Amino acid sequence: MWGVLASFGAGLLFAGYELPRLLRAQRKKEAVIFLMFLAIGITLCVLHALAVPLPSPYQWLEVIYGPLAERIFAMLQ
Amino acid sequence: MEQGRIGNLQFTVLAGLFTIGDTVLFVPALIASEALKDAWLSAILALLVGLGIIVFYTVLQRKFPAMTLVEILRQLLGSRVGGFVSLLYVFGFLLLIASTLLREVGDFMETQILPNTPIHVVYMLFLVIVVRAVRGGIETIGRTAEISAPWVMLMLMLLILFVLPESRIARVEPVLYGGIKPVVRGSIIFIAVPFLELAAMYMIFPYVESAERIRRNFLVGCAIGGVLLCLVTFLSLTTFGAVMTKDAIYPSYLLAKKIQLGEFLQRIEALMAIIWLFSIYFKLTTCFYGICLGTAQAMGLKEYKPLAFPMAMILIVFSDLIAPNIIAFFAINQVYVLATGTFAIALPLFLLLVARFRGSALGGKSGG
Repeated sequence: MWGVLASFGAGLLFAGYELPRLLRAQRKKEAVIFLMFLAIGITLCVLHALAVPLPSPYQWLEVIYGPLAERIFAMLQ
Repeated sequence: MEQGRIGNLQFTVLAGLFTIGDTVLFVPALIASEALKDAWLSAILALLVGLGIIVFYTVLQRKFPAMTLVEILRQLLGSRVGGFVSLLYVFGFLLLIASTLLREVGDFMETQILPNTPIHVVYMLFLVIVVRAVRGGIETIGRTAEISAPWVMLMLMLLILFVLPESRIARVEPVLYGGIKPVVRGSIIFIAVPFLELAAMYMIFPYVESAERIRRNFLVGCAIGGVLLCLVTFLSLTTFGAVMTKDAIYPSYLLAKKIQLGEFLQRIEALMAIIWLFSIYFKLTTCFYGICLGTAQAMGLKEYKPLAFPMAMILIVFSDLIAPNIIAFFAINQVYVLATGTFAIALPLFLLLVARFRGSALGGKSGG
């Protein structure tokens, strides 16, 4: 619960800090991309705080490189 | 986008700190688990191969001295394909290194120094200074590195000097008892962990004062860092023997605990932790700088600084997700070698080939 609140709080804080300056400088594209990554960040933090099982980046690497890695290291055994 | 420039010395120092990075903390254990008593030979072999890799990195840098890797990608492959590959480089390579580093700091503080503090507090405290440095720009990072490097060097020297009386050559004899293959296996990990990761420096090459001296300075910085790493590995082996080195998670912290001069100078290991807290900090800052700058360049933005906060949030979650526990964390090396190799060796090689074939079509622009 605290993690969820903290994630939203931090997100709001960051948005409040960055957005006015970006909009004043007419940096629309930067503002959009910033909000996009902030949304990704908040979503990830909230899901993680709620203990939703997220895939580990290493699981993907294992899928991509695992067989090749085994073969290469088997050569050196 | 980035107006700042860093001096040649600052770049050298940054390369050295990046090389020492997290490697000094746990790589002696990793290579000792493969090569046992010959881990120090693995370290030397890895250093030699690693310096070759450094020279290889600068081949692409010399072809495009005024561009980061993302800009090179976008010029050679077009803004769509190039942008996509850039994002792969940023999120598949830089973010991977950065989250591994943050996890290492967290795990280390958690198990050795601050056992009752939640790991996320350690993450956040560490990230605050990282984000601050990245928002300050490359000059801030360069100058901070210049100020901190002497302390890292001093502490490493003291560590090496103070532990020297405890070391016995007999503990690494007989040399090459298990043949050459374990040595090669051990060195592969050592090659990946600082030297393949150094491809993250592609993001700061264009901001170094004199582009033509990068190769020399890069080599000098990495050689100094690499030699120190070899010394630490050798000392762990000769002080504790191979079995204890491979079973310890943090052999160099164990080394620091060994320091005892008479009755008055002991228990200074927390002070010695300065070495890797500083070096990991600069490695993480460099990667995080690359993440923010790379994303901004890949998407054609005019500034990268606003991205620092959201990326920090993503980084915290990734650091947690990387591995369920510390044992699984150490079991991912073989895959890690190939994953970093794809971006550190295959990608620049591919770009060099593309640049060669498209060289005439791009005309004078390829000089950057």
